[in-house]
Amino acid sequence: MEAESAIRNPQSAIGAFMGRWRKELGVALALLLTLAAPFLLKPKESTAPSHYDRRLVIITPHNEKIRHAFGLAFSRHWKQKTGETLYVDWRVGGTSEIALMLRSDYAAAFEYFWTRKLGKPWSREVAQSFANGKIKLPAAAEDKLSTEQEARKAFLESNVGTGVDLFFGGGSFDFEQQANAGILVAADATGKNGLIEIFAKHPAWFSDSAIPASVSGEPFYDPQKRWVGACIARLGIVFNRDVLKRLGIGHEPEQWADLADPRLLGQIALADPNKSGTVTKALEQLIQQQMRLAIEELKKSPGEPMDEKAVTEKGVRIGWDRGLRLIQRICANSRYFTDAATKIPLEVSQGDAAAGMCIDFYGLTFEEQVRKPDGTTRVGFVAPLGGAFADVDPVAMLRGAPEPVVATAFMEFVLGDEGQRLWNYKKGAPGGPERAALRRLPVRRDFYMEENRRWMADAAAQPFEDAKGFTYHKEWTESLFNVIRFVTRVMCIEVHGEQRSAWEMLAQKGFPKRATEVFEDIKLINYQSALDLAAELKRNDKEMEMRKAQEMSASFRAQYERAFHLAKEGM
Amino acid sequence: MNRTFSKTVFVVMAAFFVCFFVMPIWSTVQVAFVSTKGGFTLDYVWAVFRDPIYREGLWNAFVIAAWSTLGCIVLSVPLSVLFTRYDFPGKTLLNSMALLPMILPPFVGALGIRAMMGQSGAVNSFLIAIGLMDAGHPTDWLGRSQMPGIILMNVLHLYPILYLNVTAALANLDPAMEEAAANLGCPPGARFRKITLPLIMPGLFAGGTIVFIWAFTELGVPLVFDFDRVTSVQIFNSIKDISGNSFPYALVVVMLAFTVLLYALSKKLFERSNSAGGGRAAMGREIIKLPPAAGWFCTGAFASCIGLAVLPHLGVVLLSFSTDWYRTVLPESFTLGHYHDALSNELTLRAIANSLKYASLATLIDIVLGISVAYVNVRTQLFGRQILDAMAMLPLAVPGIVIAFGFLAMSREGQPFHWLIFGEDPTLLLIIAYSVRRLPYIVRSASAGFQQVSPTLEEAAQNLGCPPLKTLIKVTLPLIAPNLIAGGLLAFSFAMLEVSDSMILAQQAQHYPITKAIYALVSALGDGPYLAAALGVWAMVFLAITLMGAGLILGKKLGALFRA
Repeated sequence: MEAESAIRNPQSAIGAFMGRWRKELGVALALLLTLAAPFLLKPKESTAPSHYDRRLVIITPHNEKIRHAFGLAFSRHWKQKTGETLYVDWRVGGTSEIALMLRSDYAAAFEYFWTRKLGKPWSREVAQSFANGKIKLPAAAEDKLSTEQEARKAFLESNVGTGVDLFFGGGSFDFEQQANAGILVAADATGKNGLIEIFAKHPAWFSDSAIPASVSGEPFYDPQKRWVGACIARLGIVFNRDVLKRLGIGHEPEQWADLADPRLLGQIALADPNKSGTVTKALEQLIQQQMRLAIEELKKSPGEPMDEKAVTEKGVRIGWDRGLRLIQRICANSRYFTDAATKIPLEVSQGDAAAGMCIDFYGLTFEEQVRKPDGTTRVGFVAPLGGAFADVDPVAMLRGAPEPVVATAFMEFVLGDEGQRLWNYKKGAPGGPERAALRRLPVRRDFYMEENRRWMADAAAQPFEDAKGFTYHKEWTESLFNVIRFVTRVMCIEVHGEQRSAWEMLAQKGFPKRATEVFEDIKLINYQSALDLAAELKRNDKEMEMRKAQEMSASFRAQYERAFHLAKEGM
Repeated sequence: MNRTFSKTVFVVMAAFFVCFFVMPIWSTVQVAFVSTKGGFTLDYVWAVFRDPIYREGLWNAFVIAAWSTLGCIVLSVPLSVLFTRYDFPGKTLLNSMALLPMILPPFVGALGIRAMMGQSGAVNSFLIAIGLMDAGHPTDWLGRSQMPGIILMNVLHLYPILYLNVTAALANLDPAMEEAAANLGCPPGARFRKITLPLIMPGLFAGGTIVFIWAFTELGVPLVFDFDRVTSVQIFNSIKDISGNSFPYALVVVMLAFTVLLYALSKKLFERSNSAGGGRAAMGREIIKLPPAAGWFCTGAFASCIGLAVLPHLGVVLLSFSTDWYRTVLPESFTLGHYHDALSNELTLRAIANSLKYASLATLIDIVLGISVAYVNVRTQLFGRQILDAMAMLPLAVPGIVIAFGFLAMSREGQPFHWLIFGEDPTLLLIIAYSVRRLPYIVRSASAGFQQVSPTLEEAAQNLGCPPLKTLIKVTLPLIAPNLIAGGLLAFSFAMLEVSDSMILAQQAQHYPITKAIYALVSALGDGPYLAAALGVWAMVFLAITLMGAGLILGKKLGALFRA
């Protein structure tokens, strides 16, 4: 019946069809519309061309704005120079992910090389030693090598690669680690390309007036030329003025110690030092600052007659204790210990935390983002004077890079005037980024001159002068780097719940004497035991480390519970 | 059925699991059993139990899982019963909307929750505006009383899984059973307890175990609350530790062991009911048309559940249109610019195409594998079938990052599965990874279907000379179609939103799926989060149309299925 009438009357056939498939058609149409939107808005220019002559693979934690600016500028530069179309292939990850990735990628590549190319048996010893910088190779060539040394030697002499050319961005700490492992190289297999070439071509760049070897104790490039800083990063405090006001805190934070105010309970956003070398370094600087202050105090009123050396020694011990207590109080105030770097400034700017620890350009970008037309902004950033240090975000070539010539050209571009401009020029300034200012500080000191400052987004920045305010004493804390990280974990992060409750109760009861003493007791980890612990951690015995961590965190946990009960009773 | 056929299925399935599940996981977690000197050790595993912090983490995970599951049951069973029994205004639309809470895209979901529930968020601003809260002391919802918050968020996020399974079970139920009981004078309460509940038990079990295991291992929600004393977060935090410790892998092993244990236990406790008998409904259920007041009450109940559950979604949507949103109920001003910037980003188009490709192919694989596993487990007596079944549930319990690194390791040059990567293209690897991770949904719903369909129907077909495979295709599969569709939709949606595998395995921009594109935008500074929200909304709209469209179209067929 239906079919018959349909033949006679096509109009009704469509009607019948529509009636029967109405829902299906509606759904299909809605799906098509949704899919059409990105098609219609497809970008015209792409940094990933479908046909290219060469490809440069860069592994990086840098954000999308930086990648876009450098990818576009360098591929244009390359096109102009050689006429070739270059595809900059970014491989993106967080710093800890990149570390994991490099470690496992190189292990797999070397296993392949060792078993297939050298035809040797793969063993645990080989796996653990080929990328272990602690294994020393004998000076004389004829010495008999152990399996470990043999593996290490084979790796360092090989051109084993993972298809990635460059490692760009992260902290100098990460780069030192990878360099020691043998993953970063100064030159490729021919010995011609790599940083070695740039050092030879531009000796002026690597002087105190451009990129110094180190600034206040922080290396700006590797003496063995395996990596070089490309821009500067300072870790500081980002804060929300509205939240501070609400909590009754009148002044803006200037020093790390300002974060220890008990009114900030549950309002501080912190980063986890166990996941970032940069954060650990910031804590180290915080402790050094306390050490310097303690020494100054002792010099003014020594109490007993002491010579210079004794004053320093005593000051270092006192400063260590004070530094740890400061870390303890700041951590007691914290909401969390994250490893997502953007989380902190974002949540501070949204009023979910009063203040937090973050890298300069994160804080500055959010400050700009929420700026009102009248110029006021609720977000502020400060790099604590005397407690903040200038670290670099380096660039380096990886072992076995498939395109060493392009990789070298990229590093030269980043360190040269064009690259340095991109870091801090305002959007649209001549030679600046096209889409948005990156707000990063260029590494070359000779860049900070009047004609550049005109175009800079942070025209008043003077990272080199700021860093001069203090001297870093390597011998005081360098060996304690891993201890600082370890102690933060067992004293604060793992027992944060108990610590926070105790701290809250202390604040509520006006810090009763005995309870506060119990809370602040860090005898377990005074300067001497910290040095002992450093020696133990160095042995790299993971089982021992695990046991030690459990013992110490159990002890701090019990201590905080006791402090809580004592405070509750007002003692 | 034919024993050789069953055995073949079993062997193929077992091989698939060993290659793509056991091997990648083992290659990652084996370090948990290797001592510093290279020998075998259980020290790391024991250390988990020795340390009160990790014991507490496990206990908290269990508490969260138990309450979340209970909450989901309490919420979804009444909704399912209302849906199958009664007619009320807006029923079809509400039914298809019930699935919306599940499609919260990763990364921006957390931003949405913060925008709504943060100290300066929309909810607090609203409470301050109507005078219920002191502006000087806003409640810190996310920073305080985290456990109840996590449970509530889990319930609102996960109840659709149970709703879907229970509704499918109710649709399969023969109303004649209930009517017979009613005719014999059984009151409604007892009828539900004694007849309906045992008969829908397979569906309840299917959904319940997924919710339980999901909540037990859930990472995203505790992270939003910055709650770190729960095993999943402890693993997440320590696995990224740069000192290269083996301990986190021991935690993974313990978590896996507990999941298997809890799954086996719940199976023993709840799945013994032998209620497969009923077979297909011989008659249609008479849908009761409610009087207006009661009808609107049902509508209200549905709508308020959904409304509450989509608060985070609303947060994401508003974020995507806002210039700045801070200490106000609604954003200060609205813009369409974020959509333009996000959709015209060069990552976007390709990422969308990639995600569609990966997710649909993975779902296809899952349907084939899921039917096989469910079939072997329910219809045969093969030795080891329960291991296969439990194994199919395990992907829910393994942190995605562990599987992802395992896949990476086994597909390297010189490794047995290097051929899975054509040149540098990880498409095949991603599809397999996705399908392993999403298999549990289909296995559970297909098992529920097989359990509800009486084997007598298959036996009858075979007695009449129909070969086993044809019986499966002609008789069984059409009967369990609602279950397969329900499982397939879940698998597809979650595959579209898969995070860990995508983050690790899709390394080049041209292979990024949509989740990694969202991640790339979130971590771009400045307006990045807003662009990510816009792309997230696009993904939500797409999945919403898919799910609701399927619901609308199948709503008709679901009904037709049991009247046929």
